[in-house]
Amino acid sequence: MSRKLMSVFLVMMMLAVLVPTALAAPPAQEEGQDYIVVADDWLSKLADKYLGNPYAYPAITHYTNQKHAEDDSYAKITDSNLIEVGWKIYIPSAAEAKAYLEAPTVKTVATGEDTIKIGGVGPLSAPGSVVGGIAMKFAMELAVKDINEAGGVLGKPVELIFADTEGLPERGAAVVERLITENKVVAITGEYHSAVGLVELEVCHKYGIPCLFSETWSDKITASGYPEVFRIAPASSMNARATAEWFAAVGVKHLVIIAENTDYGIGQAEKDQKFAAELGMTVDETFFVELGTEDFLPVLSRIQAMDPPPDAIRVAVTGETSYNLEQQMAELGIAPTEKTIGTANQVAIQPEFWESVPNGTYFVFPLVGLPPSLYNDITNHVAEAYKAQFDTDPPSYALEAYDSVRILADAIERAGTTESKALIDALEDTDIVLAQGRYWFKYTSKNPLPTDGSVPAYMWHQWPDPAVLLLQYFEPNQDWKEAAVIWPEVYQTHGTSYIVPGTKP
Amino acid sequence: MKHRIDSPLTSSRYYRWVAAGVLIASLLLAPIYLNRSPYQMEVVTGAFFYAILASSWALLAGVAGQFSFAHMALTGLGAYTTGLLGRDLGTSPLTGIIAGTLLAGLVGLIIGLLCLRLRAAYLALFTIAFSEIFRIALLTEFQYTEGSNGLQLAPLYEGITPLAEYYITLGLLLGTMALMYWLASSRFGLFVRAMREDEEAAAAMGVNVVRYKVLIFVITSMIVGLAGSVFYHQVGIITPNTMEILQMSLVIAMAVIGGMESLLGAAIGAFLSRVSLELLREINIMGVHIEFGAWRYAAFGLLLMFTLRFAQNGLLYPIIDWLFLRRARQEAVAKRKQAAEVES
Repeated sequence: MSRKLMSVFLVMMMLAVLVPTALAAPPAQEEGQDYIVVADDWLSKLADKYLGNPYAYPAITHYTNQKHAEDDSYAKITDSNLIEVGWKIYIPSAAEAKAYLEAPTVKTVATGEDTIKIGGVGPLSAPGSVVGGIAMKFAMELAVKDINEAGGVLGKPVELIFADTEGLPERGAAVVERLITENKVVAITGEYHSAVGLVELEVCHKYGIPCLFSETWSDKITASGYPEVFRIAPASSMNARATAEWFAAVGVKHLVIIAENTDYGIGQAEKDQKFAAELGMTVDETFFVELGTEDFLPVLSRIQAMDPPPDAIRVAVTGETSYNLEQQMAELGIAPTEKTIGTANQVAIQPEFWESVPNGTYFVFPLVGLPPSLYNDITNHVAEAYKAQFDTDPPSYALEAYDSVRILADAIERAGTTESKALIDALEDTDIVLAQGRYWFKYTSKNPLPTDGSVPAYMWHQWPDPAVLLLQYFEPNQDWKEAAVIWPEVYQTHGTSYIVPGTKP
Repeated sequence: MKHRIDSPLTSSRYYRWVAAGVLIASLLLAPIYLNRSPYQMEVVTGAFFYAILASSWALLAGVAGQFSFAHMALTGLGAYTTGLLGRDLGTSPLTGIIAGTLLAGLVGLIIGLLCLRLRAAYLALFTIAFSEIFRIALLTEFQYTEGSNGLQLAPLYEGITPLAEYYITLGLLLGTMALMYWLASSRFGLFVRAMREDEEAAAAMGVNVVRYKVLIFVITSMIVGLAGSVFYHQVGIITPNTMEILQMSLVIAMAVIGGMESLLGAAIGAFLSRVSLELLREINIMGVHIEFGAWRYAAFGLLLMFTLRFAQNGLLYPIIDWLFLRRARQEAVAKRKQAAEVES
């Protein structure tokens, strides 16, 4: 019994002695003081001793450098990892340190570093979308190579540190934490999965580090309204609204929706009804059809009986079934006609489209990303490198990833520093033409979102012109790459928002 | 006064107590070091979560012999329950966590009642199907669950620090481990172990096998439901990606590498696997930079195959066994011998 008691006692003693030391922070000093560095000092140790938090060392760096500016008997700390014996530094009071550490976005980074580090994030292993992550990493590395070949940024080479998020939010948060605190990156960019991005942006916000999202669609990303968060991919709602906005722009008043009775179809039909109402259009009829239907006569004859015919028919049906529907619509002379616009599903870019829909001329279809007809020199350069590697045209997220790195490099060059606040300020002033076109941010701290709610919250730091396009065939058997881009206006290839059937652009 | 004979504390027990004390003390003290790096803190906190999952799976599969693939799904069920309650009804995280734990237990009970009358393979097949259906339902019912965009969860309380999250998760780990050890060493543990060895024999000896199987399934379901609902409040978001079968296999692999029949082995196995998977992302050896990327998972798979072929007891269990249990065995044998000598 005595030994058992003794062992229990021993364990209790260990806990009693050790746990309080772990939990109780050392007392923090109330007043700031000058301090002469002695051997074996390092900043986090001093921060721990005097401020009760080893993590408060940046405050010592900051206040010492501030004193140095007025009085050069204080040392100038260019690298927090390197202090020398005999230096006079200033250890702030706990209150001063707290004020500095909690001030948003004040963080001097890497002034003494010989490269400028940018953190890249994306999924490189499952359950993330590995294909997306690999393409983005490749494009980012290409951008870094291009930047460095052109002389780097601020006279220093750019270094990309890419971290695998595995498509899991908790992992994304951890790697961004690492990139910022250990790799000391000046900005974060990339990301493929919205759910991961939503956690990553919180970490960036905590440290005040700018974060430029390349390919995350959730509205909530930019709707966070954080000063650090920027995005060049479309917000989901921008994509969902594109067709409805175009309908309104070309004067559609009466609309018919044909949707498949799946989650996608029902969801899209609900959104279209909502957008139509917002934009002053009437949905005369919504038809739900089964996937796999071959004969659409019952539905189409009801549309045919409408008088006057609808201004447009919106098709939210996928795959092979959409081809059947579109061919029968065209064959029966319902749409596309002079009076009625016909839209097709995005699979209209597949080569099978013309086999199944020989009468498909003048159908309008959506496309996210650039068709080759809109490529500029930079796009061609990226596409060439991408094709050499992957044997296919670059998807939009690869172009976005490439552009993201170059947007950051451009902002650092203009800011003249990697300091976060200056960098965010420079990002807001972005105006640069890259692979996907001209980048700029409409709603920034200089042009805040209107408070009346007339502009959706996701437009904050959002590139207003992402390539969410509508294309239209105007020749039989046309290659989709030759089709006219009709919407939005900044991307138009044939100077028109709609080619009326029977005419040529 | 009644005279009592105390059983002397055998030296093996003494060592075990001290080892447990040292282990727990070092976990309690680790933040002194970890506090310097929020990244390491986050990795270690995440590793505790996996340790809970792996050790509870070891209780279910290793101790009770019931192979379930529903662990991650039940974790997600806990997290989604508290997330949806918080979002739609404005309940506090604590209420949500209790509800998540209870619901996971309830679903565990239903699954248990449905298929634990059947033998091993059926439970495995049923739980795989359940996990996939649940994940797909979360993806397709995106109007309610936010689909692959993920459901956001409020922090456990405003202004929670990484240090607090570390201690909360550690507390959860220690608490569940204590509960599971108590269960495994109780009469109940004896029954389920008997069931694992031979169900008919156990039934013939009067053990109500179905009742105990259902009970152990409900208990482990509640443990992972609790762990999931707490952990994802800390992460801030839960996505159906978390519930992929691949993630479940990872937990199983961790438990197997550690030692499936040992709760502690599984927990340490999960902890070390998680931390090393994170450390092995990239390494610098003498200036040579190697990036492992997804290859580290391939290496993990190889390690699993090696374990299954050459070390069925896991890689860690034999060490634990050699350090602490071997002595106990030797002592028991010696004692028996002594007793036999006295008798003769």
